[in-house]
Amino acid sequence: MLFVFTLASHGVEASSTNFLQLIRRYADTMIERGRDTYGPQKTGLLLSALDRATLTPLKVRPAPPGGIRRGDRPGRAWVEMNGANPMLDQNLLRVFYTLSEITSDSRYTKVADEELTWFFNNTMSPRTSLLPWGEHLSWDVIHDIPISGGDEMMHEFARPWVLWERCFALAPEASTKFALGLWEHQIANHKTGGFDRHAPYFEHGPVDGKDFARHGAFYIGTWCYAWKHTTNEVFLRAIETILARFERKRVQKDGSLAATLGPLDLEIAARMVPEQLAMRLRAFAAKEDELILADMQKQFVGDTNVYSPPRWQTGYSAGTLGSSAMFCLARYEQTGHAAYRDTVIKIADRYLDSQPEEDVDAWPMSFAHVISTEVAAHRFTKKPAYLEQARRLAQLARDVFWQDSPLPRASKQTGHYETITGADSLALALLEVHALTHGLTNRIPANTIDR
Amino acid sequence: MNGNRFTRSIGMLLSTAVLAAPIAHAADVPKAPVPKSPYLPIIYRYADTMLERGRDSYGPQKTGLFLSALDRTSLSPLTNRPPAAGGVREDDRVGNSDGPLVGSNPQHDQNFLRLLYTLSELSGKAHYRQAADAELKWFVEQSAATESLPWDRTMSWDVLQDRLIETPGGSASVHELFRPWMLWDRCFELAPQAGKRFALRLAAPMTPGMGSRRHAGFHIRTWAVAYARTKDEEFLKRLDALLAHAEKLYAFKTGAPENLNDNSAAVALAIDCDGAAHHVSEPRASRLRALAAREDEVFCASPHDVKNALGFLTGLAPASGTTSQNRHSALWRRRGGTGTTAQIGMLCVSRYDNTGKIAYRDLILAAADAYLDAPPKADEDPWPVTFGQAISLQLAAWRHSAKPVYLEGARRIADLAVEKFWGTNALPKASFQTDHHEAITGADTLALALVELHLNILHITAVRCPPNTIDR
Repeated sequence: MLFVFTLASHGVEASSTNFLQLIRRYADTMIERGRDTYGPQKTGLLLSALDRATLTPLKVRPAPPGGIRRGDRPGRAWVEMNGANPMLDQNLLRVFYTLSEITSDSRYTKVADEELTWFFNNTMSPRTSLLPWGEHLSWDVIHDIPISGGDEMMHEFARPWVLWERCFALAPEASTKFALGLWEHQIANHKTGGFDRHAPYFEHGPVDGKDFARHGAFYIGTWCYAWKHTTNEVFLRAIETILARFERKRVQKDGSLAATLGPLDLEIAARMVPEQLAMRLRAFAAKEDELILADMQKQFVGDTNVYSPPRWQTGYSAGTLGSSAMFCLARYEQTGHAAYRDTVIKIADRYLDSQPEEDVDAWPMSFAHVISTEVAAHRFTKKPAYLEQARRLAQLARDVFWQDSPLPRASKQTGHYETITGADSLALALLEVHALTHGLTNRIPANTIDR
Repeated sequence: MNGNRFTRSIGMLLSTAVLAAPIAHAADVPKAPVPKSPYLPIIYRYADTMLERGRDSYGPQKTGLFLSALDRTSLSPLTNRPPAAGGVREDDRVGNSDGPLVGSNPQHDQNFLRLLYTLSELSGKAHYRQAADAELKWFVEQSAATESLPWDRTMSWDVLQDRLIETPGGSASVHELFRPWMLWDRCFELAPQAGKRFALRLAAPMTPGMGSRRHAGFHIRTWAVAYARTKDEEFLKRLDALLAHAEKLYAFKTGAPENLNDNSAAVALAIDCDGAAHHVSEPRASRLRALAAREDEVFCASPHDVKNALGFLTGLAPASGTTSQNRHSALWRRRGGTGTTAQIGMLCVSRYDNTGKIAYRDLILAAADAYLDAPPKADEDPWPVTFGQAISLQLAAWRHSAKPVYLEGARRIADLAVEKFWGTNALPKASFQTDHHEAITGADTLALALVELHLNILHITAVRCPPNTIDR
């Protein structure tokens, strides 16, 4: 009854939005053909790149999707690309957990659990406790070694890691060691909180260098779980140190304030740490809201001096307008702040008649964010136009990226599979559309971690 | 080194067993060397030479325009009219029919201008971009100030006499674009008012036949961009009239290429209609996309047999004819007005990159295969443009298949092109069998392809090479 009501209320054909089948086939193919059964150790890790024609590891380093840097890809420089990088596959792991809930087939959860367990327990650097994942590192499934896409073995987050609860459940000791390693070997100065987003994986050697604020937030988003699961006070000190650093750094030379850490990870942390620290985190986050919303407001009134993100073109350190919407959605879900909801709707409006511009090498991630934006706008307003656009773009994404293969390709202008461009986020977005058009009550994880 | 079976079992079964085995270093696996790419120095030398020796510093007006033909020995304007490369129409060359080639035609040099913008991004040096900007600004403003457009297929600007060169094949009333003009946005940025007047001067081709199909697309694109830039409804009126005309005139049934003089014109129209759709709102955008989709069907449903024919089907034999009389594109020789297999292949690349339709992918791979071991024959006089397109075609096949044979194929074709067209000279020649520089045969497209190859070899994405798909 619910199914019929949902379709009738939206005027949408179920058959045209049956993306569950597509995503399940993607997941099944990854389980059957995309896990590490190679080299001396058959780790079961999901490969982060594959040949879509043969459904086997790549024998080359394929042409990069537009905007992807050489050193960020899951494979050694200049040779065959066969790395596994769970941070790049994070949304695929979340899709696996969700598929088990939707289909009651536990094998998806089992595969995701095995990946987390093996990776945390077997790939950690003995000296630094850092993991071969993130922006530059991965695990070579053929040679069974940690590798870098570039010249140096540098640890750097690629996204926030939102699977800490699961990791602490599956591999508590390793998760704790990583969180400690992040404090000991990523943060160069424990008094000032000075760090660089790059830290050597093999040996201790952090420097006080380019301390990109978003990385500080990712660290806080790690230590809060470590505190929750261990109550080791070192993690509170770590959080306080980074917070204090950016309480200072947000003040500009002219006395004005600039957004730094962002509010999302601080809000997560505030729910776990003692009240006094939680209050400081929330106060900081509230100020971040003010600063960020003021900047966004300028974009929408057409201020010529304000950078406006592109709609579809993605690249290194250059998100789309859709990714801005995902930030707003995440913050709205945390706080219920109406300005964020309204911004999501404004951005959804801008994409209502939009398709990737001519000759842009659009990524699956760009489609994912726009689709999730339209779904969110529909949820907020109940206007059918948003759902129709979400459905149109989902169908277009299916046709453009999956084509005649069970795996999506890395971008419009490449032909191989590589998750760095967000095939995993697109899968999540298509599940959202499926759930909405089929009246599923399962909770689809928020598509808001690409930041 | 990598943990024994016992260690692995523990790792899989016990979540608390952390790091039972030591972690090996990547240094234990030999590093691969950085691949060699010798192409960029050739391109910089070409561009630098054009900037230093190939600009208009002659006659009363020193316009700074790039000469579209040069003497490669003296690196100065030609004092004669050298024999044309095989297949070049005399009317299309940049000089009076009986005079030396001393013209400048930015349509012929369009990919060279795009190359200069790309080199500024690659090198961080602004002078390449500034030279391209100066050329565009001069041409747009000149055309607005006079009653004539000093560019199209048959018109150019005489840099010595500072006057328009019109050849007998031209027409003062209908300007026949040599290629689609992809630099409209930059023209509007540099000279908004002049750009508008310039675009308004272009009259629509409304006659049936191959030319009008291609040119309909060029004009639809022009007016869509002009409308987006100016909001002048006149551009929409023109676009609507031409779109309605195209919808009616080109309403061929799927798979009926006998109705076409040139099957590839359908793809060209599809590219420009789809491109135009990005600049207009609904429902016009959907109409443009629908026309593009129909043109895709016309082309893709044709019984191409690229693998055996080494070319695309460009026209069927008359009903009474035999299959062998079907017309196909050739690898290196341009037959009449029909493009080579590489040229049509690059049209397929444009459509595939923008639509993901797998019928195009299969055609791209088949066309790329055809060039893998098929250099030009000794009696052929191939043009640089065909080499440029063949290289870009191989690179597209590489991008979409991840098969290294195509990257290697691109290198082989590029090496031959460098040897045959450049030799030891700073400027490429017009064809294998000529010795002067003349942009009409597509040295600019070849240069762009070599930059694209360089970026592909070194996996550089911070700078994006413009799509090498405008020769249609």
